[in-house]
Amino acid sequence: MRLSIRSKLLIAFLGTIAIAYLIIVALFSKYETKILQQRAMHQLATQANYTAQRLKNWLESLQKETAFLGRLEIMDDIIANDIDKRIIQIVTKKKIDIGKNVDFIVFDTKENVVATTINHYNTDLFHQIFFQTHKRTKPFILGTNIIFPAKIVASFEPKRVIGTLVLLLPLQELKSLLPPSQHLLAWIVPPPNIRHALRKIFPAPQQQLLQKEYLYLYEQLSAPLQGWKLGYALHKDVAFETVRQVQHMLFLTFAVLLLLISALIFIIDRKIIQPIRKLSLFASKIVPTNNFTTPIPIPSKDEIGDLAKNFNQLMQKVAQALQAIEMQNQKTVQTLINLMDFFAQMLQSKTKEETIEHACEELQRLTKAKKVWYAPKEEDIKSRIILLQSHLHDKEYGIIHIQGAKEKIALEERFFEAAGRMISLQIDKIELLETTKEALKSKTYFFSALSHELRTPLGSILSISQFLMTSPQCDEKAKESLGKIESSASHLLQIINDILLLAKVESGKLEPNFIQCDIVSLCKQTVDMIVPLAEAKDLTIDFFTNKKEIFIKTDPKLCKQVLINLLSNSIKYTHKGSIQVQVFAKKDMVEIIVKDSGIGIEPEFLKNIFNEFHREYRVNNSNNGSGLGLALSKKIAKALHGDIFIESEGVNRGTKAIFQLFL
Amino acid sequence: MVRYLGIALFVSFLYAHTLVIAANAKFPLQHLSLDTIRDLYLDRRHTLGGYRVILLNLPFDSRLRKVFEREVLKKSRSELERYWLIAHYKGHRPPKVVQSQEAVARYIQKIPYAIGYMDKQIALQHNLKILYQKSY
Repeated sequence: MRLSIRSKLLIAFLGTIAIAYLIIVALFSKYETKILQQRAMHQLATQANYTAQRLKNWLESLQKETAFLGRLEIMDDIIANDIDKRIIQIVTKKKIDIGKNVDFIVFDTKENVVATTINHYNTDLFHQIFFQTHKRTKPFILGTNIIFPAKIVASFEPKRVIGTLVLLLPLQELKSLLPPSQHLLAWIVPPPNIRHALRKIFPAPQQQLLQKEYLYLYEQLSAPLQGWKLGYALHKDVAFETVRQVQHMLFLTFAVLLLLISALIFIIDRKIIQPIRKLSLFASKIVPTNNFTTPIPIPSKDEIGDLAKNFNQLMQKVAQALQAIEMQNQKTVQTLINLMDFFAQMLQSKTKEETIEHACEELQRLTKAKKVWYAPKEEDIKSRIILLQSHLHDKEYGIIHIQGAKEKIALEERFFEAAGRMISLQIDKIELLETTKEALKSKTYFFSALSHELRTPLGSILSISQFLMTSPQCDEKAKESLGKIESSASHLLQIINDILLLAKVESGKLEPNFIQCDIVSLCKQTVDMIVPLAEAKDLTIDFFTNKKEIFIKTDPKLCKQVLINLLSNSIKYTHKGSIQVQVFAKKDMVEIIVKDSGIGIEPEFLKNIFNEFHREYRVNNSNNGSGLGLALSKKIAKALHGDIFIESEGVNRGTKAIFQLFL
Repeated sequence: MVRYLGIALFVSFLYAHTLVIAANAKFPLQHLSLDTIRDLYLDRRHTLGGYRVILLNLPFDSRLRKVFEREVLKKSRSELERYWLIAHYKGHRPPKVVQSQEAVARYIQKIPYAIGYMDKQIALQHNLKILYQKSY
């Protein structure tokens, strides 16, 4: 993936800050949460303890109040059944003083209610209270109230109990001492045996909610609330508010940093990356257009400006270098063209003198020398010389002198060497051509002369020997000798005919007489002609064709000669088996295949099989052959616009001759 | 309350202006001399017949108390105030004050050795023993 520098910077900065932020938040949250939890629990414990103490003090004060009231002299009025309403007045006042929903009941010793602040008489409750207070002196819980009893004795007679003062504190009122707060929960837990009965007065928060969202603890309460507990809970949001605040602050810092970094990257992008990008864009445009001349605008006077300056200088240099290379190239091409001209001139020349003359002219033109001349031997020592030396014979053609060469090319030793070699080769070629032409001429002449000179006496030998054989004076022995002479002479004649034909072909004097003819019937006739030879050696000839008639334009006489050659070769080199002749009409040619089961051909020999007088060593001794047959056949085939190929899988594996005639 | 007042007015009309020193019917003595009464109320004597006597007084602004102080104790208010101020420093307490003659009567009914002063008809209503009486 390809990332721009801006993205990389952004990722690097943001990554660093994010990691640092996360580490700080994680560490802070972990340690600070622990500390805050401890602190909050301590605070909770202190508060719970304080509230418990307050409750205890309050209850004690109520108890003391009750006891104090009970000791007042006015309480003697119980004796007078509170006829003066002094007791009811004082307890009513006291109730107002306490300020809570408390009630007083004053019993005489006979369970009569002397005075009470309770408006609605509840005989059962009064009975229960009186019954319980009879036995107790300390505060106790009865139903939903705390009862504070105080015995009343007569002021004038301390041993005389005249009644009981009872303060009723509804349990409900205990809650008024709990601190009212949204985040700080405080609740009273009655002992298990009455918890259910008092659940409406003292509802407890859900345990699950407590564990999940609050830090909480329980404080044991003292008498008269023995076995009671005070629950205190602080919402975690409040307890860990500092952590959250710091987290928020860190987050805010992170956001601010993010903005700052974005701004910084924006500035970096504007001041550094954009100019670099422009440079890069400019450079990328240079490559396809090859425009090295337009300079890059210099964006600022800092390192990037320097870079642009240097880049411009570099471009200038490149442009100069390119120009120089181009000029050099043009020069080189021109030189090459001159050289080509020079060589063309050389090649066109027909004679040695013409060659040297052209060479001198061209050399003068190329080197712009003052004077270029040819001499058979060295004349001027100061001049540059080109030695013309034959590559065929150990012979020198002479020396070309060059005086005052101006062009740089003239200084190149190799150029002069090459030029000398070229001129020498051209002269060699001209001389060789002349020699060859002469040789060919004499060869053809020799062959025709030879044939002519030989054929005449041979004709005489043949006709005379045939005449002698028919003479009645000739006995059998003489006839046999004459037969041998006749056969040798006819073989010799055959060879001479072949040589003549070959000479004719080579000298280009063979002109085939093309006519339209059926190649299939031509092949059949040839086979029929040769069958007796085959039968003499107990061989069979099979003929096969894929078409009944194939008409082509060819010279039937020459064609037949080639076929006879191929067939007679097959018969000659096959001692057992058969010969197959196949004629196939193909798309653009006719293929005549002569296949035998004879002695085959060695792979080594197969390469030279079409050379004249070339015979394999195995058949060398046989008299029956001159080594001209295949060479002649190939040449005739070529003259008929065709060709011959010989294939053999090896010794004693037969031979396959393919004669192709193109349509 | 209105009823009680009505009865009181009626009775006061019948037995007009007779102050009695009364005690519980079971009180061991039949009569008390003026001196004895004065000794008791002025904190000079505390027992009668071997029993500690509980004295009952009426509130300071009570009409009958003024009569009682004038006719029986024969002391002016200022004298009495001075007297009880000194007695207070000596650790003596004045007689127990109740709010009404009715309350005095009820106390006496409940406590056999309590004595107090009231109008005669109230003493009679509660069947109290009259130990001393004085018209005024």
